[in-house]
Amino acid sequence: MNIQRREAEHDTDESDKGLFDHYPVDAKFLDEMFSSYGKPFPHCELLLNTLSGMSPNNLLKMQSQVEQSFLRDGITFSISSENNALEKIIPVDCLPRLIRLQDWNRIESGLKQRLKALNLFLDDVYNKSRILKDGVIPVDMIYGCSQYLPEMRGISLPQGVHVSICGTDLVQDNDGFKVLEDNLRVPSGVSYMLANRKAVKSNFRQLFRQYSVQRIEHYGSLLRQTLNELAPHNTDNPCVVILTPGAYNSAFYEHVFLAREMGIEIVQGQDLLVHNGFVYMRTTSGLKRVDVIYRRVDDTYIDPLTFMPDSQLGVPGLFHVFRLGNVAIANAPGTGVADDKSVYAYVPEMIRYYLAEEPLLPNVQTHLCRNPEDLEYTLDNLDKLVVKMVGESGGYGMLVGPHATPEARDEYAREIRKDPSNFIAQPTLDLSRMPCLTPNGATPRHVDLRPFILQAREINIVPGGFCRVALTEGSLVVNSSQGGGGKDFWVVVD
Amino acid sequence: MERAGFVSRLVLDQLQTLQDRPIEDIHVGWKRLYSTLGTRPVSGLGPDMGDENYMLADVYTLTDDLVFETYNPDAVLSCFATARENARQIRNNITYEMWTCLNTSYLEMRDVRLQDIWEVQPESFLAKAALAIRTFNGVADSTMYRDHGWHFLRVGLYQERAINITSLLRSHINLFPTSEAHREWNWSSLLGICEVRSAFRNLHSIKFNPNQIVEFLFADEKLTVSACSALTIIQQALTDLAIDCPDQQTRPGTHIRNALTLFEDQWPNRNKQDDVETLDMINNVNHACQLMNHELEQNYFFYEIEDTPPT
Repeated sequence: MNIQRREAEHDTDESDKGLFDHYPVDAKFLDEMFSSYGKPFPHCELLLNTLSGMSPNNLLKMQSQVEQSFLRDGITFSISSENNALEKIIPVDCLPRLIRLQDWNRIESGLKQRLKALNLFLDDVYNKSRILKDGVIPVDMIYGCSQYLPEMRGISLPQGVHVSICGTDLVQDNDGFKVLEDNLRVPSGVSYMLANRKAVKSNFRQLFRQYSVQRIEHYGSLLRQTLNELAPHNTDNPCVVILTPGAYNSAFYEHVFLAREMGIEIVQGQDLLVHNGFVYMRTTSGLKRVDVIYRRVDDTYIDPLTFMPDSQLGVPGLFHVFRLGNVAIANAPGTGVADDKSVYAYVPEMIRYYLAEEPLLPNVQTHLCRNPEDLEYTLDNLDKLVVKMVGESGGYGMLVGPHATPEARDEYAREIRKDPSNFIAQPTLDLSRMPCLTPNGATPRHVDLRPFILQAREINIVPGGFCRVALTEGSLVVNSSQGGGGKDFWVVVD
Repeated sequence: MERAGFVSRLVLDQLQTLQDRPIEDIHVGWKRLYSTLGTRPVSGLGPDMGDENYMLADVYTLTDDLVFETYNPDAVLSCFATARENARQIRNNITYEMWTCLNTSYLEMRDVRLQDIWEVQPESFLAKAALAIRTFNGVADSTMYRDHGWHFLRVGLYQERAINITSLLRSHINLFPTSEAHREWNWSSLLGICEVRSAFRNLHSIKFNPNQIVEFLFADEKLTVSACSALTIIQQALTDLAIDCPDQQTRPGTHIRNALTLFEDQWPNRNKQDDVETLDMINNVNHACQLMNHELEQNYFFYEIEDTPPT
């Protein structure tokens, strides 16, 4: 390969090995820093030069500082062991991932197009259901979906916006960026996007300026503006709150972080009450009317009178107030029907149907096992496919065919045959790779990206996203629950 | 955090006692400590300690229990952990600087074990904790917006302080009646626990008069750790809180106002030679602070809807 060591710019230690001396490039996987010939892409040269000019010791120190900043900010989660709860940080890699602004602009257009279509779909499917009547999507797929909420039927939302906050998972392979899944219920990870930026930025001040890295720090105000615009009755200064399941939820840090960024109150179900058709928050100065609830609680928990009767996390009567139009809930209940893994396969059709446009971002090829041909193909090619259960997330309930034993594949095949409509299959993706810092120098690791798209009166995206990285060598699973970590993601001006 | 500081100072004083004081002082020191905290020593150890060797061996266990034992809610490290968890839940109501200060202190202390520091200098750990608490209070004072959060913080801090100082005075007087003037060392140690030895010397003299010390710790308005100061600050904070919500203002303040009125009327005229009278006054303040807590919860957090018309 043709990776050369650059002249050191900052500090040199003759005894040190170059960071990229043993960096492998494998043509099978797109490397986002080096071409298949080992030459750095032009927009990565500046980063490479800077990194090559730093001693491995200093890089490891930098990595340690980044981790320390996570600990200092309390960006931790607990792992219960036998007697103690161990507090861990979300693993983070200090080397940034880069994308050119012009490439990002294409992604941004595709994401906006997609969310627009998904909101039109949700508004349609809970009202006139034209798309079902026209036979574009099978009726039973929607009405049989566990995430479809009949209680939402006939509810017209202001501006028809059901999904105000969307986290879309993107992957890149040799053919470019593709959508892996849309997270339309309570997408999380945005705090890590911002925390990664805060931690990494200070280590690369000069580089950051040279690259004119696009800012993402205004996400909080953009989210507040989006939520304000959802307020019913054109309220000038709406009362917005974030509804959390509580301090023991794994995303509690993010809930508090967002409340702070937006300057709003964080509440639990017991802090809210319904009175005379409105929602109120108990404050130390008395009750205060609430206009918008950014809920980080799953659909079925938000109101025990309408959904799960034994829910302790929700607010009795909330859904009634929502139906009356006296409070906005973001995201609206029932949005999960549009991010079901089977419905996902139809998003390109939704874009054509509602917008009369071709999708700007393609889906990953998906085989729906509910279709006999797809089922047969899936069963015949289990060793090549990734098979997922439609109702699962977080990397659970998944079979990675090429990495599974024949026995595991047989067992999984039996499960598929029992209930084919509960499974989809996708080819094993050759996820792109990006250098990560390890004790052995820079080594490639697979990455994906979750940008966050906001919609109220208009659609907004900050130029960035939560870049997840599979930190285990060779692993394709980027979920933080399964050994994944994060990376800062830079949209750079070439 | 206030409790962590208080327990730290109690333990620190006891560790110093162990160095060169007679066995009796060590013995009553433990008694005063546990009686102040309202708890008992860990099982199998404690008040009926026998010979000196046995007692010195106990010190390790008792110190570990009071400083590092996670199952003891009054242990210094437990107090820090609880304060941090509470802060985590209200992070949007406190400042970033407060969180960082508290979190960093906790992270620095959480992995320390008594066996690591016992041979070297256990006092340094407690001094570090005390410094962290002072820094936290300073950061809160300099960064917090003066809204409800701040007023509640002050109420909580000074309520804890008033309860601590009155509990300590009560235990101390029960063990060392004010008539026993020869107990100079014990009275000096009381001032040390409250970190006001220098202030007392500057104001009075190097001669430790028990009644003067009680007066100083309980009633001196210029001393921020005195019970009387704490009551005055609590009353002010409750008044500040009530400005924003006139419907809720009365009840929690009633106990404090009554205690202050009683104090103003009766404290100067009490028979200073009669410790029972003094203890009555001290108990009264302690009780008022305990009652106020319940009323605060009822008035500001768990109120009925009809009590407060929606705004």
